[in-house]
Amino acid sequence: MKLKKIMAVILAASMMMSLAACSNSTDSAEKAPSNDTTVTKAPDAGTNTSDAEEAHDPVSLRFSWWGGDARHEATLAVIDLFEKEYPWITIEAEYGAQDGYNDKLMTQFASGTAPDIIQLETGAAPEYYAQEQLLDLSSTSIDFSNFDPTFLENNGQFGSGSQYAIPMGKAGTAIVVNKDLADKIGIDFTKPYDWNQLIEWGKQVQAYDPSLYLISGNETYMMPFILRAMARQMNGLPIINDADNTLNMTEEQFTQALEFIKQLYENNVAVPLSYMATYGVNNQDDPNWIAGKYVAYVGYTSSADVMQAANPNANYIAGNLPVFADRKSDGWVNDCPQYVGIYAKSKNPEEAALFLDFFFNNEEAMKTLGTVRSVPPTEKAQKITLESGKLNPLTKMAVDVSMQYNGKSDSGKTTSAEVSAILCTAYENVAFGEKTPAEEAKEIVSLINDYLAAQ
Amino acid sequence: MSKKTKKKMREAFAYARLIILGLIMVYPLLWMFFASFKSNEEIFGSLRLLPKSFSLQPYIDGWSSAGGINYGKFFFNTFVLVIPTTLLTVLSSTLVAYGFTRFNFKGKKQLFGLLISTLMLPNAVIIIPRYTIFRTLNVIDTYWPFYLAAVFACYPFFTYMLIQFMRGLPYDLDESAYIDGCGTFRVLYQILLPLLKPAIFSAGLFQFLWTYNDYFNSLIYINSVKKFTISLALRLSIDAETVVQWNQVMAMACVAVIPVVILFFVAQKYFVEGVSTTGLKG
Repeated sequence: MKLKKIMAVILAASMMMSLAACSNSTDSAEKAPSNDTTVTKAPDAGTNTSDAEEAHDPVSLRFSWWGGDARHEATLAVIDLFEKEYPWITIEAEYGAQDGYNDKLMTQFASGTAPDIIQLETGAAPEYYAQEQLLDLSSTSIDFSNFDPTFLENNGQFGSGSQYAIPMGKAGTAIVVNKDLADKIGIDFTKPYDWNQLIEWGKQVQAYDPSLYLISGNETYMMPFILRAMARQMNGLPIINDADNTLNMTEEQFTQALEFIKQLYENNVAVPLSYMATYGVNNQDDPNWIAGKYVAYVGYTSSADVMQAANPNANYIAGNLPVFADRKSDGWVNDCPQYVGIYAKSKNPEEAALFLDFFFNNEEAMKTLGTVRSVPPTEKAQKITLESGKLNPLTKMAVDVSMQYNGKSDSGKTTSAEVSAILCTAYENVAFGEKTPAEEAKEIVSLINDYLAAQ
Repeated sequence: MSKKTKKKMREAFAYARLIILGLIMVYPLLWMFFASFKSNEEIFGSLRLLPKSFSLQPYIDGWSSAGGINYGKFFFNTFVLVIPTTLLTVLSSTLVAYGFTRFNFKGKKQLFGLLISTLMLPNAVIIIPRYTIFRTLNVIDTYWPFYLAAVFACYPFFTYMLIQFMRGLPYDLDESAYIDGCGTFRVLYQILLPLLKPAIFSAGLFQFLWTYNDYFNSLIYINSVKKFTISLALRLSIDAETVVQWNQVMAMACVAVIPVVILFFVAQKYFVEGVSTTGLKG
């Protein structure tokens, strides 16, 4: 009996082993070409040297990005163009939805398997830079001469003086205004105005028709729109001073900003947050926007055309942005909807740099990409897309509006995930009336100081 | 009113109630089906269920995805991933359950405790260590992370479920089989397996459904678009910064639920049996 038992155990074990064993053998055979980035020598690499071009070992790079259909198609087309020009380089496209993109990237960073070329979320990029996951692009062959130097400095250098990420497009905060409705009520977004004017206009809209609202804005966009922008206007500086880990904002200033948020929701200037929460950042799906019940939408230039397409029955303009009369800086910045960077552990950084150089500087590539990543980051590409009719006039207007302000980016600890969460909670607490602005300001200061103490 | 008409009335009432309840249940599916024929404006702007016009165009356009890969390939991938995973899970979980319920060995209690404790680990906690293991094995961007987990019974939920079920089967059956000269394996597959059928079927069905619907694990382990499964492919065209053609997304979602709906109808008996005998609900 005992012998049988032992036999059974051995049999079971061998059965499992055989399953596992066959798994490994077939796997390594089919896996080889798929995801490794090591250089494999082509069999005839030696014989081709007689050609004018020097012989290269074939290189395979991985490029990951998120987006929708149009972006996928255009980016794949550019990869094709690039591969034709550099036949020894193959680019494996890894594209998908933004949903879970960062989770996956963090997993890959944690285990050293991230793609060579990576599209990065702007909020997350400074953290990746701090973790030394990104390659210093200033040391590579990428030609930055088509870019505006200040724009580059504000986007992707993270205060280091070297480029670690390249902004893939130009964007900024945008107020998309339903011009028909605004004209009817008598609101003019094209003139300069201050924050309090928004409250006045909001009351005017409510008096006109209580089912209408002045501002539709989701929490994710409204928090930076008010708290971070006000901070930049009040002090000319971000909320947090990254260099010595201190707060630039005082408790009184926070109270002032939060008081504005309170006014915004108490007077029904903005659509209640509880309603907005249903749609997340997909506000183009909001039936009230589609029905033209909001005067303006607070978002980014990159979503202007999407909001426009949701309700094609109305005429839209990009409105000016609110400022304080006694501001230290205009506060509104030109930033980018996403970065692209090269993985610090990439085995072929030179080829990856070649690709990025092609991506941003080749005219054919500019034409193909159009505006799939918002307004192109270089002047030259903007001209090309405008000429080819690919640049949406509303998007162009929104970018032009945001260009007239002289703010400086606050990307860094202010935009880190933890601080953003603190600010969003504060925004909610005040918007829902759970705490007074003064209480909440105290809370923010103590929470951010805790965060800074741990840095 | 005669007794007969009274009975008929009552039946009619019962059926009407059931039909209404049934309609409420399938309404989301119906809405998805009809939404596949609507324009974006119609989807978000009106509450009407029926579209203004019917056209197969969204299905044709939706079938081919960006980059020249179509949903045929995505379906193929999904089945290549899901079917072996399901079969291996059932096989390995049954073996492990058999070991735990019918044999005594050193450290059994501790091992069982270990099994139960892995049941309580949330996926988010183990994803990075798991990913690192699979990277060391060089199986990232293949379906092996799914197969390997299934081969080694790394789905403690199913193992635990089968253990509980098997504990309910009387040991007398095994003993009489041993007396008649059965070996340990024969006891499993000739005596216990037929009795385990409801539990095995429900484990298989749920593993199939869960793997089919799973987004996060597929997202983490699979990089190449040509290896994407349906759940990943469906999100390919959804992005906040582009105008999403929702009718195409809905059309493909309709196609994507067909296998699951067919499975449900074919295996309806086992679903019900599985739910009633194991207390497992989807």
